[in-house]
Amino acid sequence: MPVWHAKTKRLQEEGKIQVVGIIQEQHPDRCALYMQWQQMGWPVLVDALNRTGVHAVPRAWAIDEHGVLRKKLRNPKRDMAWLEDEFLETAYEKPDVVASPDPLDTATEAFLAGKWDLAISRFSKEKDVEDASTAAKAWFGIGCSYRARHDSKGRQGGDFQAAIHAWTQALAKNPRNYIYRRRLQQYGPRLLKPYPFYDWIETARLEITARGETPLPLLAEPEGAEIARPSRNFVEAGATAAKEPDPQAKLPLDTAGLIKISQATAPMPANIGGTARVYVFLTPNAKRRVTWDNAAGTTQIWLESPQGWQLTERLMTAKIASKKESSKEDRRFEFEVRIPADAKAGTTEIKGYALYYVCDGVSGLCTYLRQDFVLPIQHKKKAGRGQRGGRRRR
Amino acid sequence: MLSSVVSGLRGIGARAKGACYAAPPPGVQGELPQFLLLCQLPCIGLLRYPSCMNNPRLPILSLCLFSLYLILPAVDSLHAQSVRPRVGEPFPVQLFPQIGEKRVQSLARFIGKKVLLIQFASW
Repeated sequence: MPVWHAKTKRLQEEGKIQVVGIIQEQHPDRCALYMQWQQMGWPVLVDALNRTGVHAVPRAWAIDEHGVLRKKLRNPKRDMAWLEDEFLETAYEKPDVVASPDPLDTATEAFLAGKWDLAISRFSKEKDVEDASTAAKAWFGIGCSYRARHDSKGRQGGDFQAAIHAWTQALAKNPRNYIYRRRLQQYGPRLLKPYPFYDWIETARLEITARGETPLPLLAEPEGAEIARPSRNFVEAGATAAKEPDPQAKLPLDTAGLIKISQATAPMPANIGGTARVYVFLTPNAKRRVTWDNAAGTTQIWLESPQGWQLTERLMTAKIASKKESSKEDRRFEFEVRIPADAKAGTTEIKGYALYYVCDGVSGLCTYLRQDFVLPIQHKKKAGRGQRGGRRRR
Repeated sequence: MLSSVVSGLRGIGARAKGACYAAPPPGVQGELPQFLLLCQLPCIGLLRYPSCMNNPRLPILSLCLFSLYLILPAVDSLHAQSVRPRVGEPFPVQLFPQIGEKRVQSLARFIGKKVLLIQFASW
C-alpha cells in the first residue's frame, strides 16, 4: 500500500487523483498511527466488520469520476502506466444508474454507535440463517462486537473468548475469507502466525518522535500475540527455569473475591498435536474498589503442566505500566501450550495460581494474596490441513 | 397491527433504496430517533410560529413527514450488505466511519474525482 502511495504521490499533489483507503482491522487507531508514520494524509474509511466482503488485502481499484469501477489493479509497477495514460486521460461517460449509499443495517448501526450489547443481539439474529455468507458476516460481527466491548470500559469477563469463538464460527462458515482467518491468527499461537502483526508500532513511534511529532495514541496497546514473531518451533519452559513461588500454599487465599480471573484461548478448540495461545486476565473487583498495590510488589501466576503437555511459561510476572503506587487496570498474561498428539478430544484443565498485592477499598486492608484457578482447554481432532499461509502485504 | 403495517411499509422502502435515496441516511442514528426528529420539526415550527396553528397545511405537512419516515430505509438484514465490485458497473457504495471524522462517509463523496481505492490493513 505505501507503494501505491509513492507511485501516485505526484498525481495526488497535482489533484489528478484522489486516493481513498478502506481498512480491514478492528482498531482504526492503529491505522491512524500507521498513516501518520508513513505520512499519508488521504481519507481512510473503516470497515472493521468486513462489510465490503473483501476476502484478502491489499486490493486496489480504479474508480472513475462517476463512481464506476474501471479496473481491478493488481500490481503498482504493472498498472501504473495504465493508470496515468488511460484512466486519468479518459473522460468517462456518465452511466444510467448512479451509485447510492446502501443504508446501514441495524446491527452495524449499533456497532458504530458503540452499543455493543445491542450489536451482539442484532448480529445474533442472523448467525443461524441458511446462507453461509450472511451467517459468516453475522458471526464476524458478533466477534468484533465482543472484542470492542473487551477493549471498552464495559468489559465483561469472557468477552475476548466469546470474540474468538465467534470469529472461529465465521471462518468455519466462510473458510476462504482471509480477513476472518487473520483476525484469529492475530491473537493465536506463534506456530500459526504468518507474520508479526503489529511489530511496526515501536519503529513507527520512534521515527514519528524523531520527526518532532507526537505519535497518535492507541486505544488498545498491542502486546503479546499481536507483536510476537512467527515461530517454527515450540519452545517449552525448562523444568528448572522457574522456581515455584508458593509450593506449599502458605499464602492466604483471596476468599473475598478481590480479583476476578478470566481466560481466553485461541484457537478454541485447539487441535490435538497443535498449539494454542492462552490469555489469563486478572481484573480488580470494582464493587469493592480494589486496587493493585504497586508499591508493595508485582503480580505473578504459576502454571502446572498437565501430563504430556508442553507450556512456554510456568512462572509469569506482570508488566506494570502504571508508575503510580496503586492502579486498577486489568493485568494480562499470555502463554502457549502444545497439546500432545495422543490426547483424546475433550477438555483438559491447566491448574495454576495467581499471587498479588492488592488493597481492598471496602476494608482498607492491603494484603498479599493467592488465588487458585483452573484453565480449561478444549481440544479436538485436526479437521484438515492448517492454513497459516501468506506473506505480509499491506 | 399498526406496527406491522409500518414495518412492512418500511421494508418496501428499504427494497426501494436507490429510487428514494437522495442523501445518505442519518448515519449512526437509530430508527426511533429518526422518527422523533421528524416529529419534532412541526412542534418546533409551532413553538416558533404559533400563528401557524391555524394553517390548514399543517396536517398535510405532518403527513408528509410521517411518509418520509416510512420510506427511510431500515435494513434489518445483512443480505443487503453483500457487494461484489464489477468492472464497468458503479462501485458499491457503503457507509463507513472515517478516521478523524465523526460522521459516517461513503465513496459517493468522491464523485467527480478519479479515485484510486485501496483496501488494506496496517498489519
